[in-house]
Amino acid sequence: MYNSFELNESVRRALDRYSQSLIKIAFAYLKNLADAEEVAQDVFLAYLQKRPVFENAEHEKAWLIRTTINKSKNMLKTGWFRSRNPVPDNLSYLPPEENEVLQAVLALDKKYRIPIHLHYYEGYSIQEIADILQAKPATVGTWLARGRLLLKEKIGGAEDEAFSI
Amino acid sequence: MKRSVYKSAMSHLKTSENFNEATYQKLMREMEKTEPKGTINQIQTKEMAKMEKAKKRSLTGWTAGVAACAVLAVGIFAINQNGSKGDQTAAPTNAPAATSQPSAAPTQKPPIRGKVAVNIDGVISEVSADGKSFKVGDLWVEVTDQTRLGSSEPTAAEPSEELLSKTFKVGNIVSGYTSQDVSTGKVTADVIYNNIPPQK
Repeated sequence: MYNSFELNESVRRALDRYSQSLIKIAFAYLKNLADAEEVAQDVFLAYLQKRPVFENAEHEKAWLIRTTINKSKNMLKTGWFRSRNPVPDNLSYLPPEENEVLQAVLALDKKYRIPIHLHYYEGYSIQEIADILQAKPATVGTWLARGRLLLKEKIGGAEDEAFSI
Repeated sequence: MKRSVYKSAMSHLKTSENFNEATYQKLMREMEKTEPKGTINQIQTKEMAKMEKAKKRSLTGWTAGVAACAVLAVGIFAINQNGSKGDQTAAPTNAPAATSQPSAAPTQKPPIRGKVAVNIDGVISEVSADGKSFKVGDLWVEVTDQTRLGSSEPTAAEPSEELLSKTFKVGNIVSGYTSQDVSTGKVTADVIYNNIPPQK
């Protein structure tokens, strides 16, 4: 149990450390930055309200990521989210190569998209992704392999690499 | 290993510049809503107040319980008192007159009561031809000139025709007393208190 000061400090620290990661994960899920930021705010609100106790920083980050994924899923399920037809974020400010890769990843099914994001952006291992997504490591390995294959078909890649993402 | 294009693209994504500060402010507002002054001391104070309330409540409960028990006890005692008074007033009329309650109504005279011995009691089933004898149960009772009619006790009521008919008829209810042995089957009545004709 935190007192108010400790809680404030831990929330501020988590905001500084993980807010960008959480926004990116939610973006990978929702494909919209405004929604992604809203989800990230909700996650920190849940952090504040539930006051979870963590064993270490990695545990804390894993909890935040899992909560972000769950809240993103919930947002996708809402009738309001389904019914609307948002204008896609303008990513033309990105370099063409990055834009192409990002669009290709976002076009993947989310079951491939999230493991790829966690692996290539966050740098998590298959085992760690399996823990976060509460799935079997073999399943995560399959998702990653299929995702890479689909991306390779779309954007190509060097033979010595799975694909150059 | 080639630099990750995906990671670079994600890193270049433009998010709100003041996201952290705005989020922090929002969280603080939420926190203030849920915990207006939000300090542990205040929580403890609240808990203390709750405990005090609980103590007061239990004390009130005990007081009310004891008071209810007392009222109940007094009520039961009073009912018992009334009951015993009622029993005494409903006591048989042949109870001794001296057992009246002096405390109930000191200025009121106690009711006059008395009792007499009766060993002839019942309904006349047969009457002799001369009308001087009658049969009650298995006992023949003879009425002579010596037989007194009505009670001669000082507090006895005056005999009336309704309660003491002068002729003995089958069906009359009689009560009287004889000093003779009733087991012989035939006695002479010393006194006839009642000779009540049957109701028509």
